[in-house]
Amino acid sequence: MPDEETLARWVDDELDAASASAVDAWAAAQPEWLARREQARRLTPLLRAGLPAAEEPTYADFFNARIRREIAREAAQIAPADPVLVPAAGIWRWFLPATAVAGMALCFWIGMRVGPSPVSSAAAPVVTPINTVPVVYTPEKGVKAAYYSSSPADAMVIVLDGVAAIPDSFEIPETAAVDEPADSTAGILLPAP
Amino acid sequence: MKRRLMILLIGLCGTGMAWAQKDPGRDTIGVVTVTVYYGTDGDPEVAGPRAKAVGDEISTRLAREKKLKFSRYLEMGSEAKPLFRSYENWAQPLAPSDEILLRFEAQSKLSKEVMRMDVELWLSRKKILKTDAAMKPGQPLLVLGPEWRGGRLIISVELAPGRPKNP
Repeated sequence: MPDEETLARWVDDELDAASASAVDAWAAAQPEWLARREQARRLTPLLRAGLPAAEEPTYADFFNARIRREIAREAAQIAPADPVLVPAAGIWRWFLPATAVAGMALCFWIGMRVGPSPVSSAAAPVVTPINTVPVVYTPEKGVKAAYYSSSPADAMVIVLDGVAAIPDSFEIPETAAVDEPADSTAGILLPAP
Repeated sequence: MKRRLMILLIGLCGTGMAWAQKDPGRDTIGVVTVTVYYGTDGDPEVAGPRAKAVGDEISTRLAREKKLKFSRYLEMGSEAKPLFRSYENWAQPLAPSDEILLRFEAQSKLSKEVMRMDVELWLSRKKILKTDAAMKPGQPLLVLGPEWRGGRLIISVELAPGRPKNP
């Protein structure tokens, strides 16, 4: 019996002639597989006629910008690769650890004599700066948005331009402006430390 | 005796089912408070009697940013809603009106206190703005929005830790 991938390609008529004839010979005694291929042959042209060959994703700009930012963030996080250690052969396999231990002991002894050893900068964790600049997207035609980081207000600010005004006839609903009692639903319970 | 055993079994079944149905995606990981302010250089009385005066702290904060600077600010409405671990939620600060709606969803945690969130602002039932702001407690997202009665509406979105008392 052909494997699953070959069968799937055979159903979709994507095999080359030699492979297709081999599967044909097997399928001659498999009526359910012949029926499945016939069904696929009927459906494929219908699907091709009904669906576009390519379609732009919704909000492509927004998602592409986010993908670019994630790629840049991951690239910044990639640390230099560790050097590859080739295992030593024969006597050197034992000589290397012994030398390393002796070296460490020597360094420790020198360190005790000379004074406190300097802090190695290589051990410092790599801190990746957080990109806090958001992607802004305005699906409505004619509306523009500009982002500002406002240090005076200690806030992120987005200014919308070109957005339709709220009709002056709009009244603030009574419930929106009601003063809530002290024990209201809008209160916040802080999590236990 | 049989009756007691039956009650116990039913109780255990109920507890087990409730435990099995608990969805960690519905865990509340913060509170998003959406407040609509009205900023105007004209007569604030045009906002009507339901608009509330805002505290000095808010006025000062808004006025410090020149793009949001107005001579008077009033609060039109506010709503605090839970931020779920993996589900979206909506805030309706001018309830029951759906003139201004905010959809929000946690996207990723950038650090212990900074959360990147998907935020959508809907005005008059149309999606006007979509962004992925890095929200931090105490640092709101302020959107200078549409005009209304000679002033502008400012939509404030603020993230806080904890959970609402009655989400």
